[in-house]
Amino acid sequence: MLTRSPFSLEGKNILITGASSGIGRSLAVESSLYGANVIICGRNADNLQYTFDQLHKGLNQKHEQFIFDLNDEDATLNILSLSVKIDGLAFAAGNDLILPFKFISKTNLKDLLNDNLIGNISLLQVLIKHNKVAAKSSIVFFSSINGTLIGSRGHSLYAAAKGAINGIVKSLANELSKRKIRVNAVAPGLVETGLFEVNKELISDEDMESYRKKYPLGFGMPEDVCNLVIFLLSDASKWITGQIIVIDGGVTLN
Amino acid sequence: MKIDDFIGNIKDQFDEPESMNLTPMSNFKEVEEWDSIVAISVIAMADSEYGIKLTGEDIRNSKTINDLYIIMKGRC
Repeated sequence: MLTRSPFSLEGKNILITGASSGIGRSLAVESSLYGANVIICGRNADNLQYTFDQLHKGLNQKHEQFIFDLNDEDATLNILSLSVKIDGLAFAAGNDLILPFKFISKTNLKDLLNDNLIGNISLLQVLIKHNKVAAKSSIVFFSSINGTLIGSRGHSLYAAAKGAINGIVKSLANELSKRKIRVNAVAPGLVETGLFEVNKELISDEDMESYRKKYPLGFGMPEDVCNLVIFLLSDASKWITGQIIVIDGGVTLN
Repeated sequence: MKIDDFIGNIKDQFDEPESMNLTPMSNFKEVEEWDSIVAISVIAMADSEYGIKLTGEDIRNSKTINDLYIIMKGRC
């Protein structure tokens, strides 16, 4: 007799922020292939629709999309129209900024914290307050090796935001464990996404090549990170909580 | 925008500007400490000091400080 694999997301309602591009988009598509009902959120309607169109639409699958800017608290309240409870959340919305410390403004600081941390946790708070998060669900944040194990030059704000995510993961995991809700983060190294393309514009080809050589397994692809997130969203990881899991092609070994 | 001030501002993006001798014809990317972070600092300096947007491509296309200065002047 066939039994459901613990790695499957079949029948689970999975909410993903930042689903209009990059890893968030890949994760939405992969989750749909693993059987999830996917609830995608993003601020760019066209890009979000593109993601929605890419989703696998199986017989019993029902996907939804919500267009809002996570920094617009009133707009995010639309999420409360969801009729189902959420079994998994992945906070892929984020932003990067490469700027030497001496040039950083308070606006830079606020923007980067909003984009990486505050928008995501505010949405989570709304969902928890309104009892939209099911018991035994899984919450996954996106941290980085920056702010976890390393600190790249020019990335002080980004590292600060990701370090803050690591802190909240630990505390929330403890707080939400009463309802067996798990909270973890993935901490990737350099992944070839849209943000990566922006960085590439600023860095010479030679610098990029020497940087690539520091990665024993090469730079990551979005699916590499997605597979780990799907594992964390699935029941296969039901005994893992409060962890910051590094996935970096071995770059931090040296 | 004066070239001498501009050179001074470029120097400031390196770790030890006092010991540097840069002229308009200096190939700034051949300075030993030149790297991607100094490049980003030069872009950030152009924005904060002069309100001018430089790109990575501008840096790549420039050889001397004067090349960069001409691009900047064109955007004043």
